[in-house]
Amino acid sequence: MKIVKKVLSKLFIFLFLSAALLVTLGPFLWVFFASFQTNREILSFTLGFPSGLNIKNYAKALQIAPIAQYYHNSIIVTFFGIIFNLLIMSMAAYVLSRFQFKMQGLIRTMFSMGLLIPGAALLLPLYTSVSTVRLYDSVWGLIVVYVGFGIPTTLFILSSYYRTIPREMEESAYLDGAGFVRTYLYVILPLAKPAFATAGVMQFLLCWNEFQFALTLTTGHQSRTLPIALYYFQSAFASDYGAMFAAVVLVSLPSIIVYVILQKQVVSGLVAGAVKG
Amino acid sequence: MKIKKRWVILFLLPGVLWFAFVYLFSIIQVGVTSLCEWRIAGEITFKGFDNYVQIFRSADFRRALLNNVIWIVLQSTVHVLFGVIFALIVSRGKRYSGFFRTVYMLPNIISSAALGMLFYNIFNPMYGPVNKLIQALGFKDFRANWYADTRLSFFAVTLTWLPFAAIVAILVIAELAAIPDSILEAAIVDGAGELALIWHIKLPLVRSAIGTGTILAATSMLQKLDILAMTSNGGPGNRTMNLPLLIYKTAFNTNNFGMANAQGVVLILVGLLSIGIINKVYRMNEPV
Amino acid sequence: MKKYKRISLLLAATMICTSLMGCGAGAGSAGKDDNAKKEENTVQEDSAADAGTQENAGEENAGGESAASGEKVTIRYATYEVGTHLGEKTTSELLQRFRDRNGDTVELVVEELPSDTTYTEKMKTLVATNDLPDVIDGKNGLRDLALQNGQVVYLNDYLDSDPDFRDNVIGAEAIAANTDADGNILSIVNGVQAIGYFYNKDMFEAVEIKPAETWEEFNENCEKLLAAGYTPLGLMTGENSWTTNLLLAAMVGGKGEAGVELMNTKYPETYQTPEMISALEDMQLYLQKYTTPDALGAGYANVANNFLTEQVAMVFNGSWMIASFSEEDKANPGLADRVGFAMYPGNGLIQTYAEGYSICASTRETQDAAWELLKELTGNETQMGRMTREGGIPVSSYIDITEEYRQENPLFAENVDAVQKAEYSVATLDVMAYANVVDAFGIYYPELANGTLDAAGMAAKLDEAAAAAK
Repeated sequence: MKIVKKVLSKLFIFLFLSAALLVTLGPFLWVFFASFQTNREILSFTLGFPSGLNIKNYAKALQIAPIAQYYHNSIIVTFFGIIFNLLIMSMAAYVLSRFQFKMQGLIRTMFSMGLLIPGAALLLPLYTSVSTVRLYDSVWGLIVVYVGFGIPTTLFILSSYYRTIPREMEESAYLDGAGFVRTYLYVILPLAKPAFATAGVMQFLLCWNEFQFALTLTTGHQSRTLPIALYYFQSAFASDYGAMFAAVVLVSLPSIIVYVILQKQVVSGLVAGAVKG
Repeated sequence: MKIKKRWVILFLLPGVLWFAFVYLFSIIQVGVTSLCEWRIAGEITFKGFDNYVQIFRSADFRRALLNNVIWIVLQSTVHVLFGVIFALIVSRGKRYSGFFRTVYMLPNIISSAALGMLFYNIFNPMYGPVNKLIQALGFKDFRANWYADTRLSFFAVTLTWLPFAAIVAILVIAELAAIPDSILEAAIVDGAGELALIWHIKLPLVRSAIGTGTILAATSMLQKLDILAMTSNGGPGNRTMNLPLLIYKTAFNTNNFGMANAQGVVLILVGLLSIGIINKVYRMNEPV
Repeated sequence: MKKYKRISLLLAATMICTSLMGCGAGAGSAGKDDNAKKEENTVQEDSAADAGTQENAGEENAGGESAASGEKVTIRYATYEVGTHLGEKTTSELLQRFRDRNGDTVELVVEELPSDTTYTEKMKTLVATNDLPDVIDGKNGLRDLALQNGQVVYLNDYLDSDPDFRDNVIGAEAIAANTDADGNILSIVNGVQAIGYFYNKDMFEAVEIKPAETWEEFNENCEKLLAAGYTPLGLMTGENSWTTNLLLAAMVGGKGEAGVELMNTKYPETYQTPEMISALEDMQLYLQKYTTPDALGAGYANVANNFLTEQVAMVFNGSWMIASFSEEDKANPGLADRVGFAMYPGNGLIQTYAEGYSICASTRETQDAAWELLKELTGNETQMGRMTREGGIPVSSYIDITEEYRQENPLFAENVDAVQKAEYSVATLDVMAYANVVDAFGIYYPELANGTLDAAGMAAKLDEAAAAAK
């Protein structure tokens, strides 16, 4: 009986992971291979590996869109977007999830509304506000906006994690004579590392991939970010699949690499920070 | 716990101010102009609840609302389930775990425009690999046009997000890792099997993470725009329309900002209601 | 319960803010209106070269450009002709020419807006914030919005100051197409669209048919092609349903006077006319029977590639497509020699002057600089570039399509000659219909093809869309 159970559970795990592999990796491999082919080869696609690798599409893609410059901007925007967001929200999430006070529910509800406001309703007000503070067409304008966009998600992730930290940890710190800020800095923050890693990943994805506001709040190459580059291949009356797929790969692959690196940090963060009572 | 009020205020202030700069003006504007006649390049004049009456009379809006509710329900159940199962499998710490965690995350890593382009092409009825694969499995005449077929489009669109639950998974993985070994060991000593361990120990302890994941998954349905626009564009007819796409079209195709904002208010209410329900179900505001 | 109480409290607070802000917003918009009127005045007085109003205009211009003499004037322009767009090269060259010629006095700031959707979206945001660039391409209804905003500068005086440019480079007909009922010239173009269709000669020969002369024959041709195993029509319903809507426009026009009139009316009252419904009925058949399996939901790229790899016999598109017939990565080898040009049955042609370019600048200095840019955008060199690179049909009488050029570009020559032969011509839906009506076509074609909507029902849906846009 036990063996049957074990086999069944192994089988289930195997099937589940295979399915996950197929639906996630499959499409990417197809686009990756297609990015080395000409239009005609893509159209006569048959299952299996491509006959030859042709890097012409990549040369074309790099020529068509200012990808290198956009990379640079994306890195700046993402870096500061993550730092500021985690900084302000770790503080807010801490008091919101650990203490009782008036207006708490109101403030929580208000923050969570950020998840719900349609992008189309934000475009005009943000264009006006960002122009007013003279951050239009600047990476800083984007950073300010993205830090704001990340507020609800970071709040949810951090406060959910803060709540799992036993209260005794703080109480013993207070008994040792540590003040509010000291307790927060030296007791809570180190414990919450895994949550910071998760929230950081979410914020990374937001800053790295956001398109609509990157377009609306900038005009020049010096402040535009990577997602815009993809649209250089979406022109009316353009039909070059190969270059378009090459662009998809060029825009996505580094995000994947950055994620893999970040994820290593996430894993080590998990091990280092976990409350192993 | 007694703390000084000023610390609460000081800790909240940066977040609240930042939020106010980014959102407050928009929230007020959405609320106010939803009661106004306001078209691009036109004047703003107050007209009461007329926009609301009109949107609820519109079949497109009712369909978008219904679709959105269905998608929110699917996303907070099936999608979350996928994510939790994945997290439970991967957190067993086998050698393949790291690889799968990265691979599963792929669709969430790349921009939605790239993802839309990708899905649009793999489901192409002529050269797309999905149909080729089905044909190779023996259905030689299979030529479904996924996004344009009235019977398939809703399913095909749902497939672009339902299976990809990596966000839920990473949230749960993080909290699974925080479960003290002593608790698990004690349970194993008591003779708990794997399923019992999951059901009675692990899941209750990561309740809050699942709740957070559910909120993010559910509300993400209220922001899906690019990928829908690039695959089915809400069609055929209004079969795959959702609120964000309808709002976008009302604002930027029909130029009717006032009505778009009325639709936006409904979207916000649907979202708040969803969050409220999820909070209740997962008892999010109580300590674990 | 507590939670709900909180939510309702929040709502109440929002409501209060709402009513307070309501007054504010009303007052604000009234002010905006005043401003717009004032601007209009200055524009007119400026046109009359009244030096007295220049100060006034300078004050109003919040764009940060200085009107003081000696300093450079800054003007802004936004273009979607970047990236993979066919016009990318011509546009970057013309902008460079402008900078070479006017660099001493004018600073030109160009915003790149890749793809049509991003262009329209950003420009609409700029319309709503009264922040349009000094020169705009008025496609997709943008010129009308700028006009409602009171930002469009009438070009009459500028054109009259340069009669040669007016009469020979642009021409009376093209100007008339963009003149309003009061005689104000709103915009100018750098070419004319004249669209027939392209067909695969090999396939036509294989089933022994010629391009149809009547619509009955067109249907018979489709039937013969299909019987021989060829897919007759390259149709699409994704993006703006471009090829499908071209064919539909020609079909409506082919149904007689009333159809031609409907298809030449800007923003028609109703699409529920016998001609449109009958054309939609035919289109239902075409979408079900005579086109590729991916037509529903297909984008332009799909249709183009299907034609280039000889998977369909006909594609409905303009002369800019000709160059791609000989691109070896895309087209089957030797395709260029196997493609023919045809007019629609009954010698029909789709002919439109697009909205072209308008000036939305607010001060005299920026308007003058914008006019120089406008001349560059529509001048002989640009028209020449468009013709040789993009197969654009020029309007300038200075551009002589030589016999040699005709020999080298036979399809282009045929396409150009069709303009003289056309017995009826209709506009593209993109120019004559509201943007959301064009979108509605793409959304309801699949329903039509699936049989869940009939032709009359679809026409009614189009009317609904048009009504929402008014």
